[in-house]
Amino acid sequence: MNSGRVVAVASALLAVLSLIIAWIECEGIMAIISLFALAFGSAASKRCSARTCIYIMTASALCLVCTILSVTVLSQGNFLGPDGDPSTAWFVIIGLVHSIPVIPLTFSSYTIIASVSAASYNWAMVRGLSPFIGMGMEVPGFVLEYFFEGSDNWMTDNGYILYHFLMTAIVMIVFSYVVSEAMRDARVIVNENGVEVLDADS
Amino acid sequence: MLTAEQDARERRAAWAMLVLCPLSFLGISVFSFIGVAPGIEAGHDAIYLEATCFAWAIVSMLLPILRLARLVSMPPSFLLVVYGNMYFYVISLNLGYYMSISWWGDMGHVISSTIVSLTVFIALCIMECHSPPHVTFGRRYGMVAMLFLVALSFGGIWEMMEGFADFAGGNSYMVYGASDTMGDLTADLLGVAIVCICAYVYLGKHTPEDISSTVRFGRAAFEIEDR
Repeated sequence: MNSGRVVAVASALLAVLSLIIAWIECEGIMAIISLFALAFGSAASKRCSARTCIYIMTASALCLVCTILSVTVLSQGNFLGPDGDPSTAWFVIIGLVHSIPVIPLTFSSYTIIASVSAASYNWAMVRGLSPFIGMGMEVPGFVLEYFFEGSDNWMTDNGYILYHFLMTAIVMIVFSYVVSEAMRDARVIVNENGVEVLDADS
Repeated sequence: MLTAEQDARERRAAWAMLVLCPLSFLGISVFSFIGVAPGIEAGHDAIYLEATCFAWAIVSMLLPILRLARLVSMPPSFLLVVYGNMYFYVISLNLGYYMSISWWGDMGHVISSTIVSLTVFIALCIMECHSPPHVTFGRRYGMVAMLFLVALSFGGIWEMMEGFADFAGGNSYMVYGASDTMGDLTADLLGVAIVCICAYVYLGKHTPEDISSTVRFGRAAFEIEDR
């Protein structure tokens, strides 16, 4: 088994662990993000090098950390207001925490999709598509939380959904700008070989 | 390149759409204005029905204006689907179907989601054909994977827009509760999945160029060929 496959399998195992914890604790968004990490880790095991798999490994590790934080220290029960409902500040904090693993997960989606489909992305594509990819990964999470909690629970309160998407949008816009600027300055693209420097005449 | 006859035909169609579509939406709003729209009895505020008709009257002018300005041209089949959905939404809203038929809203949302996903697919095909040679979405499952991830986000963006509209207006005109939001997101997911499956099948025998060539974007694409 080559080193790339080892790293990819390890990342998939971390993602499975995160998925199990999130599922047991009914943490729908982290369950879905862990599922994406698992799917990408499984795809990465087919072709990606260890260097390319570092992104999905980072995503899976952060998934596990953020899942544990979400169900322990940052669980809604620790942020209840005087009316017994979670505070708006908690909506913002948990939205940020859920967005953290989406950052490396989004970049690994580029590396892994490129590796299995011969795609090639430049800085402009990364800048334009990353916010949508990051937000898109969380939509199934809300659907899952709805089925976990039911329509009467605060978890599916519209304020929670709104602030959560807003935090993800802000995080992903900042990420897309920073990464795309770095890619443009370094003249790199993401293709089936991973991150590669463009030829001088490209 | 465009022939003179083709250009004239498209401009006539654009003028017809520019005049008739907004007039028809405003005509529908008359029913809520005079208080006889079944949607009022079903539970919608009259002002909401009128605002919806007015908003879609404005929106329906966008594509014809872009065509007449020689900036954007979309395939007739796509226009038919988009405008069909506009009328589907406005007419059924004024008839009160969104209140009286439990699954109507979800069905409408699936249709709307498929249109958004189709638009994303067209955009990705255009990007594929107009990017530098070293940039590509790769084989068809690479294109479909990107389509799935990008198109999913628009459900969330729409819900954010609805939430902010209510926040700005201080009422609940656009959000009907968490279960409505979750139903919408589920419908969006279904619509995206449907288009992804169709796109995967389509790309088995076609290329993104087949889609991109039916869309004109930018003044250069509207130059009339000399006979």
